[in-house]
Order: sequence, then C-alpha cells, then structure tokens
Amino acid sequence: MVNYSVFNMFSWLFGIKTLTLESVSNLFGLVFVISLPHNSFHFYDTFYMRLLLSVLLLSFVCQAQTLENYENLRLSGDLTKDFTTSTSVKFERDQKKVSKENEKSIQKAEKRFYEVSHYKVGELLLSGKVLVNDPITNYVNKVADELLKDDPTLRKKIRIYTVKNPSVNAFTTNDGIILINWGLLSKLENEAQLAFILSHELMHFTEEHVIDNFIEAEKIEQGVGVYRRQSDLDRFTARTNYSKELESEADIKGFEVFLNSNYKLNAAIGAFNVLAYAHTPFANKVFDLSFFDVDTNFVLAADTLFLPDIQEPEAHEDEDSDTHPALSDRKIKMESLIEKHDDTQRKEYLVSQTAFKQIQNQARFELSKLFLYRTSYEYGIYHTYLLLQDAPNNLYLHKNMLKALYGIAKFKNNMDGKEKEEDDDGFDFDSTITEDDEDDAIRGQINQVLHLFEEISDVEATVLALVQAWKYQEKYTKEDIEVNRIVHDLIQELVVEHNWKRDSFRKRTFDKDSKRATFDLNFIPADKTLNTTLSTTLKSKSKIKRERKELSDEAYSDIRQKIRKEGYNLGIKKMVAVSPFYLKIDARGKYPLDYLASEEARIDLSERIKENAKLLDMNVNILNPRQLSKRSSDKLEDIAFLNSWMSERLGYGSLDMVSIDYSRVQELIKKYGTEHFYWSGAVNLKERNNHGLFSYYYLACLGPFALTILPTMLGPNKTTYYYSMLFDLEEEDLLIYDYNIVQLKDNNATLNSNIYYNLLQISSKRKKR
Amino acid sequence: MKYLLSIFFLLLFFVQQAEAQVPGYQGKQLYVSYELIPHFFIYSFDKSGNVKNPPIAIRFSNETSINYVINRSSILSADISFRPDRLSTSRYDENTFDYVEKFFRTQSRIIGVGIKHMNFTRKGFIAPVGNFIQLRGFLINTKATPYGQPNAVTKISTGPTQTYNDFGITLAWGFQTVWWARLVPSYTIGLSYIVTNRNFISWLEDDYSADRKISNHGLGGILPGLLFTGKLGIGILLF
Repeated sequence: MVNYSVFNMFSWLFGIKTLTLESVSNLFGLVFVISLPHNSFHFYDTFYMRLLLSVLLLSFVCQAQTLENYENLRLSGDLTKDFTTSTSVKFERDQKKVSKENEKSIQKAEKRFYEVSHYKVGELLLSGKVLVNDPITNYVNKVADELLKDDPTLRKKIRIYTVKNPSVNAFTTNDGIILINWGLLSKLENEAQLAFILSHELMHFTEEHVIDNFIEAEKIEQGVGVYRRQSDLDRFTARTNYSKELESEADIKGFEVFLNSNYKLNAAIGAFNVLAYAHTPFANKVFDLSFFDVDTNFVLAADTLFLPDIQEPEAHEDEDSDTHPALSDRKIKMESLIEKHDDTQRKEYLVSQTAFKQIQNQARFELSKLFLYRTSYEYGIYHTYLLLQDAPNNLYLHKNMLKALYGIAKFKNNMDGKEKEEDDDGFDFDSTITEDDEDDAIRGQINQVLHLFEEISDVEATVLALVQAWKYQEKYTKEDIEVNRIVHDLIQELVVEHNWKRDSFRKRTFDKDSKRATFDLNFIPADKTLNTTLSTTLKSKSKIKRERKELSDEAYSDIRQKIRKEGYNLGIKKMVAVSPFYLKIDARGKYPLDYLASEEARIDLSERIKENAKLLDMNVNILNPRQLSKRSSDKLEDIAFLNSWMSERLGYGSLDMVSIDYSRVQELIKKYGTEHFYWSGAVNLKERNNHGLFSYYYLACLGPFALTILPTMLGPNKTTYYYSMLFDLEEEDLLIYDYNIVQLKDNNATLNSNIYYNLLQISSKRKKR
Repeated sequence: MKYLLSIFFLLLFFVQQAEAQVPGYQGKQLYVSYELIPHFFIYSFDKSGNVKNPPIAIRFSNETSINYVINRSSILSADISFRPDRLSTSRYDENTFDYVEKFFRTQSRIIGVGIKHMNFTRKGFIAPVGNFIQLRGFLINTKATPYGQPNAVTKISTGPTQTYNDFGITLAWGFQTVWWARLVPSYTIGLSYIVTNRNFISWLEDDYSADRKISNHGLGGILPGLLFTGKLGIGILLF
C-alpha cells in the first residue's frame, strides 16, 4: 500500500504519476545518477556504465507495460499547451491571419472557423479521450521523428496525439495537431503504413487544407464567384469534388515526404487496404463454437444458435464518400508513383518492430474495454475473443468478456422496446464498425457472434453471463468486487425478471425439443455466498420488483411536484462538481453558437458554484477541464473518467447496471473523500421575439408606463435552462436530476438564484415540524 | 408604521411554515424597498389655483415596503405611503346664480398588504427574481381640511378636519431582479380599485349635486374609482 499523500509529493517531484515498474526504474535511474560521488565516474565508469545502461534498458522495456496484469492507460505527465491554452487565446492569435482580400462575409466565416475549430479541438483534447505521455502516443511521435528527421522545423510545428476511439481514422487540425485513432493503430500491419498515414496527414497541415476546405465550402454556400448561379446539386457536387481534390493532393504530396524517408513505399498500398477493410475487426479468425462451453457445463446448441457458413468480408474500395475519392482510384494513382522507384532496400520498420507490435497490442487491449463503454457488446466479445487466442489466461480480457456478456443479458432482460444507446462522441467517421450494415455477409467471422446474440433468448443470455462469471471466480479470484456485484445482479435478474425459484437453479435444458442450451447451475445453492445472495433475493423479490418498475409519467410528475414543494433535503455537505457546462446560443444569427462566450461562461459558472456553496457551508471541489494547469493531468484523467461514467449511467437509462469500472469508481471516492458527484450546466438561448401587433396595442394602452416594458418587448426572447444531477457513486444512484427553465437572461441574479436553490436542496435537511 | 409592521409580522407567522426550503436570494429572504410613484396630469393648477401652462405635469409620491420571500414563488409584502393632496371644487349655486369654489387640503396614509406571486405560467422564476403578479389590499386613511377661496395656499382652514377611511384592491404586474447580490430594482404597473368608491367632497359637504366639478392640482391619487398606477423601486436585501 502506498501512502497517498507522500506518494503525491513524491510523484510531483519526479513527474511520476503511477507506481509502475516503469516509474520505479526511472526513479531508480534518477536516484542513481544524482547519487554518484563527485569525480567518481571516471574511476568506476565501466561498472557504473553497465549498471546505468541496464537501468535504462529496464526503463525502456517497462515503458511498454506488461499485458498480463493489464491496466488501462491514463493521462500522465505534463499537459501540453494544446490542452491548457484557452480557445479565446488561440482565437485571438489566429484571427490576425484572416485575409483582408476576401469578401467581408468570407472573412467573417474564416473567423468563425478559427473559433469553432479551436473550441471543438479543445473539447476533444479535454474530453480525456486524448492521452499524453503514454507509450502509444510516444511511439507514434518517434515514427514522426523518423519521417521528418530532415525537416526539424516542420517537426516542431506538429503535435501528434492518439485518441481512444475504435474507428479506423486519423485527422489533422489547422494548427498542426494530428490525431490518430487507436482503431487505426490496431489494424495497421507495420510501421511503414503508419508513416504513410502520417505523411498524408502532414500535408493537410502544410497545405492548409482544413481552412481551405472550409472557406471554399462557405464560398459555395454563399454563391460567391463562379458558384453564383449554380443549383443546389451543382454546389453539393462542387463541395465534394473540392474535398476529394484536397485528399488526392495530400496523397501525392504526402508520398513525396514518405519517399524521402527509408520506409517501404508499398506500405502506402497496404495502408489503403487497411482502410478498405476498416469496417471489419482486426482479424477474421473462425469463432470457436465451444468457446463458452469450456469449464462451465453451459452448452450452446450449434445447429440452432450458430450460422452454418460465413462469407468472407468484402473490401469497401469502390465506393465514393462525400469527402474522399474511392480507395481503388487512390491505390491506382499511388501504384503509378511507387513503380518509378526502387522499393527493395527500404524497410517496414525504422523505429522498432517490437515496439510497433507492443503498442498495437496495447491499442487492441484498450479497445476491448472501449467497446463496453460504447455498449457495442457483440463487437467487444469478438474483439476480445481474438485477443484471447494469443493470451488465453489474461485476466483483464476475461473480465471484459464477462462484462460484455453481462451487458447483453441486462439489455435483453429489460428491452421492453428500449434500445441501447450507442456512444456518440460527435465525430463523423468514414469507417466505423456499425451495426447498421444490412448486408451481414461482408463482415466475416464476427457474424457468428452477432448471430448468436441475436438468436439467444434473454434468459439464455443471463445464464450464460452468470456461468461465465462463476467460472471467472472459480478460476481467478472471488475477491473481485466488480465480478461479485455482477453475479449478485444476474441472480437477481433470474429471480425477479424470470420468476425463477430456488429449484430452478439446477441442471436443466432450456428447450427440450431443440436443446438450444444445457447448463448446470447447481453451483449457486452449493456455494455459501451465492446461496445467501439467492436467499436474500428470493425474500426481497417484491421489493426489488417495485424498485425496478419504471415510473409512469403521472407518477413521475407527482414526485416532481412533491419535490418542488418539499425539496430534496439530502443534508449533503461535501461533493465534487464535475465539468460545469455552459452554452450560449443566439438563434437570430447565422452562427447561433457563441463558443468563446460559452467557454468563458463555464469558468464563471465554476466560480459561482464555489461562491454559492460557501454561503451554504458546503465543501465543493470543482473539477473544470478549462481551468487546468500543465501539471493537472491526473485531474483531467479523473474528469474524463467521471464524464465517461456519467454518460454510461445515463445511457443505461432506468436500467440498473453495475458500471464497467466500479473499482475505479471506488478509487475516486477514496481520493476525493466523498461519494457525491455533481454535474450541472446552463444553456442560454436568445430568439427573435414574436410579439404580434396586438401586443404593441396593449402596450400603448399602458401609456407612459409602457416605457418600462418596451425594452423587453423589442429585445429578443431570452431563456435560461439550468440543470443539475447529483450521483451517489458508491450506490451508483442518481440522487437528483433537476432542471429549471427561466424566461430570463442569464445574468448574475438568474444564475445565482438557480445555483443557490439547487445547492440548498442538496445541503439542507428537512426541518422537523 | 407600527400598524404596518404588526400586520406584516402577524401574516408572516402564518405563512412561515409553508415551505421547507426557501432559497430567497442566496439565503436572504427579507428586503425593504423604496418606490417612486409618478402621477401624470394633463390639466394641472399652480398654487394660486390658476391653470398651468403647459398644463401637463408629473409629480411623484413615494412608498416604502417591506418584503419577505415566503417560498420559491411568493413574496409577502406590506407597504405604506403618504399622499398630500390639494383639491379644488366648484359648485353652481342656484341661489346666487354663481359658481362657489372651495379648496381642500388632504393628507392620506395608505397601508397595503399583498402577495407577489412569481412563476405563474411556469416561467421558472425563483423569488425574488423575475416577473410577478401582485394582489394587494389597501386601506386609505384620509384627513381632509377645507380652505376657503382664495386661501387654498395659506393653510388657514375654514372648517373642521374630517377623517374618513376607504379600502381598495390592486392587481398589478411587475418585474424585479437583484444587482450585486444586494440591490433589488423593480417596476410595477397596476390597476387599483377603491371599493368604497366614496365621493368625499360630496360627503364632506353633504351635497350630492350632479354638476359638481372637482379639479385636482395635487397628486390625484385619492379620487374614487379606478386608478392606474406604476411604480419604480429600489430595494435592499437585508437577511
């Protein structure tokens, strides 16, 4: 056990955020170097040099963490200026670049571009989906170093980060940030392909494609110059063609950069092939139909639950997208460039093949959990299955598999017409593994898994998950709090949702005629702890059923009215406020969202929460990603996790599910000394007022007193929407979900009223009458 | 003032336990307000009783109120104002075939108690910030002293001072907000109806002739019937 406060000081001093083998060896190396006696180096240099080198080697090896006891990557080290500089500062810097030669409307659009792009990129960077100082990002940067070793000036302008996203994609921002998705890294075949992707993205920056594309799109939309008399269809075509031209230019000019390196040129074709199969998993191995049967006595009938044959996946090569030329055309052009050069002496790896494989594996391990957060359980199952072929006893993977099965069971049990919500991070990707493709045959062996979980019934899914959870406990540990909670919940599902009695937990077959599955659940009454869980659940079945029942609209309205009158009266004096949110919208203008004002308002909202909390003697710790310093990577990591957890809870709706990372939740409760976490935000909306002529007639009747109301009548309609949610992370319960819609401007009085009232509900206890 | 405060706190006692959580404005529920009431005259007189040129005039009376936020949407208020007034009357005397003019100086004390209700039509207001409708009852205690012509301005009475009481109700609409966590600016526009509808001049002279003409070169707030008023106020949040 590490004393946290001592470790905090220690880690700040040495820039170590997690106590891993890597950090220990780095620390050892540092201590070793500074402890060398003065002038001693020359005398002992052979010995000490060997020792130093072995420490450094140990450090390098440990940087790529062991996958056996895998822990998810976290933000660590210092945050870069991209994270800590505000949108307004970036905007002020860039708006000076606006070309005065363009028409005023285009200049305005250009300014708008800078505002929106900096804000959106800032949101992404501060979402926690973008890591810094992690092994994956560090490796990609080394590849970029190799690629641009002859152009250090350009290299300094570029910052490369990797993104926690399973889509096969990469993109570039106008000010030189290149973002590579883990989904892409998980599928590339070698380092040279990555280098080619980086070359392509680099060109988007050096040729200023991002802003060019935006301005051209504005010109097209406004009908400027040659676009003046074009029809809507012609304008759409012009827009897509321009985008495709830029992509082609990036391919060709990127190839020139790629050519200057010693990477194998044919890797460019390989990269296009990867993109062509972006919609498929990273491998296409046959799914072992007995995979779930091992050690469980749960046997799925192959003839009813599995497909007899599977077609091989097909490449998406010939389809044009709105923004990119068809891959087949791009390949042809690239091949014509490659054939002019000798490719035989070039290499697929210049940095390190080992490191490439390692970080790719790491990216795939990360995706195993990411699919859970996206509730893409079936995809997660197949992906994890693939990884388990090479790491059959990996605890982390087995747990993710179990969690995916649990997710499927829960949603099946509680469907009632409800569909699980897919995570949407707001980015539109060209190649995303989705469930919407109608033609299943193009996806390959994953179809076996998709079919199984389409066909399997809710009770079968629940039993399958329960059996797997028990297997995990028997094989690995019974002390895992997350798995224990899952087992407890699944037993509840069988008792409450499927009316199982005690004697149902025995050896049985689901369907006597087709024999879809056979299983043996005798282990539950046989195990002391599980038997207790079963007994407790059977006793309190009615109560659980009542608690789970979704409220009708009327009942919900009654409760809200009661709460409005009596308040929540929670008596909570300590909590953490996470990412106060703010949005300012003026619907009257061409660009309704005011991003700069919104960002400023978020900081202001944090201060108001603090101020009002102080008035109520509340201890509120504010975690605002827009108020971080470069040493706050751990805070950003916490914010990212909490937001992800909250989205997960809201995504489940009324479904009561054990969260994906409950142990991490416990960690945060301990770190912040409270289980109460608070999310709040405001949206201010201005709209054109729609007072009719009669309103002005009535106003005139007021005589001179009309002057007091006239400004309100003539000005825009103003509405402020304030919302708040308070969660108990220990119980994973939503304690408060409240909102207020005020027909007023979001001035000090309006905001303070709402914030104070909301905090009063949380902090006060009901007075005894 | 003591009557005002007595009534106010008595009412407060009954409403105090109405709601569990009353936010007020950042916890402050009590504020006092000073309001200016403009009175507009299309036809006004100077002190000598002559018609002014131009005749249009604006005069102000003032009102002090004490307000207490009793729940999320409602504010209990009590107010007091004083209105001095000057009235001139003329009556045709059938005996003398001439108009007889008389002047009165009145001093009215108006005490009102009301409820301001916010959040009507679900506007989301949290008292004391936002629009409100006010229902208010008021008592007018008037002392009227007659002055003979031409001594309306000399303050020497020509008859006994009479006292009478009227009561009325007000329905008003207004808006208030908070500045710097302390000041409460507001405006109110309303219609007041004096229920007792007393024609006090006639009552004083015990004469209900139909052709009585009454001109007001004071504040005009005491005439019976329907009154249209507006107020501009500034308050201070106390605790």
